[in-house]
Amino acid sequence: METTLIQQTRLCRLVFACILGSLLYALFSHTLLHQLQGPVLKYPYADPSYWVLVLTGIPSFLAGHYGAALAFDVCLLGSCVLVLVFPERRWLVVVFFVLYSVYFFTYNIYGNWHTGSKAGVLVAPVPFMTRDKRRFGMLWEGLRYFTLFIYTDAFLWKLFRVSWLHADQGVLIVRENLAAYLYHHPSTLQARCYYWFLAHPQLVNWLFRLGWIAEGIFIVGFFTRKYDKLLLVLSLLLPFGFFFFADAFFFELYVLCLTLVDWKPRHSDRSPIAAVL
Amino acid sequence: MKRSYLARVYAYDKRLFFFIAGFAGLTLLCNLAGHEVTPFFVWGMYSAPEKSTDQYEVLETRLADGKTLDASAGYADNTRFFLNSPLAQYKEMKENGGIDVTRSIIDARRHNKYRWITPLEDRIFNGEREFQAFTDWYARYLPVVTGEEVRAYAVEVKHVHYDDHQHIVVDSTHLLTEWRQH
Repeated sequence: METTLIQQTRLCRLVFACILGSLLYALFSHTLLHQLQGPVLKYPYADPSYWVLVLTGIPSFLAGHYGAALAFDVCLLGSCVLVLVFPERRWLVVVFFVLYSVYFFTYNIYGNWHTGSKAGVLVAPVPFMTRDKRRFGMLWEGLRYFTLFIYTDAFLWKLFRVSWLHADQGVLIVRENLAAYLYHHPSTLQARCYYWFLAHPQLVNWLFRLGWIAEGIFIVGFFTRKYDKLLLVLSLLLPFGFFFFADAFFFELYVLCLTLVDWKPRHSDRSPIAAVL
Repeated sequence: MKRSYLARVYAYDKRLFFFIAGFAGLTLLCNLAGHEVTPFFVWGMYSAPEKSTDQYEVLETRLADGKTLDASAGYADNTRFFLNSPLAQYKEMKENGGIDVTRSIIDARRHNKYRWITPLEDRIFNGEREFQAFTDWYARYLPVVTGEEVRAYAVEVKHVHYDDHQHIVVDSTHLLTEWRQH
């Protein structure tokens, strides 16, 4: 992708506006590090990267010291805002990336699950660490391949583990993940929708397979950009499918959808987004 | 013929090529091994065939004034993550005799690739101290989320099943843990 410095700056602002939205969501949902009240149970699981970070003592220090955690969160949010204001200063992007990496690991360690929802925010700043426009274009293109890989990988795992042939895969996933909601909210409209779907298990199982096929369509993106609009729509829809089946909304992956948008310069680059940015 | 992405990167910047190719290669390797080493992600969620079961478990937190904390809805996804997931980990640890479940998994595989981790285990995984401190932490986090003072709480495990109309029916309940203000 050939870009100009102005486009690079605009994209940087757009991506970091999304990231700021994600961080503000974390702030208002009491999940920035200073809001966690000194969590104790950790979950590095069998991932050596998490082991290394736990051994550095950084997560436990931040979790155990309110002042340090507050200062960290201020720096994290502050660096994101500063990138929005000064997108041409690459060192700010690097600082943000380092801070967000610590946040990403600490969040998952004390959240006791290695959720992939924040992976998009983790990798999205990488292309903006360079000033060279061709290197930026190549990294942005690489980010597009990373986005394609997420869905392709999900497709291939289901393909090779043959879960797409498992008769009740869809309905069993819904039953497992929605039991708590249906226990607490037996009479809501949403609960009635789920009752209806669970009463039609074949429909739920076919919806699961439909989602799986939609993931498989992303393979096309490795060979051509012609269908990026379709892939963009699918990448917007699939997190809703995951929300339906697993009761978890991976909205933070949406930042990667930007890599599927055609950002080529127009004859008249006065779109509403361009005007704002 | 149009040059491939990696060929173009190689022609322009060899260091960038090795960075991208290395990242891609290690990601593929991790996926082939079925073992995630962040940031080489494995996107295999719900790819394993689900086990057919009639029994499910629901965790319910009861507060002192009779109120029930509903962590299944009404809170942001992130909040629900921190209300549910550490509690589920605590439950697993309790059912495992207070031993970190990951530690048990590593112990089971110690004969091969995990032998080197033994001297570091106490620093990496949860021990008795973390296990005992959990209920106090949960008591500190609940008021932040609910906006109300928490003087006591109890967490129950409900064993439930779906009836013919897909409604949840509770079969039995047992106490997971309880906490009172000191």
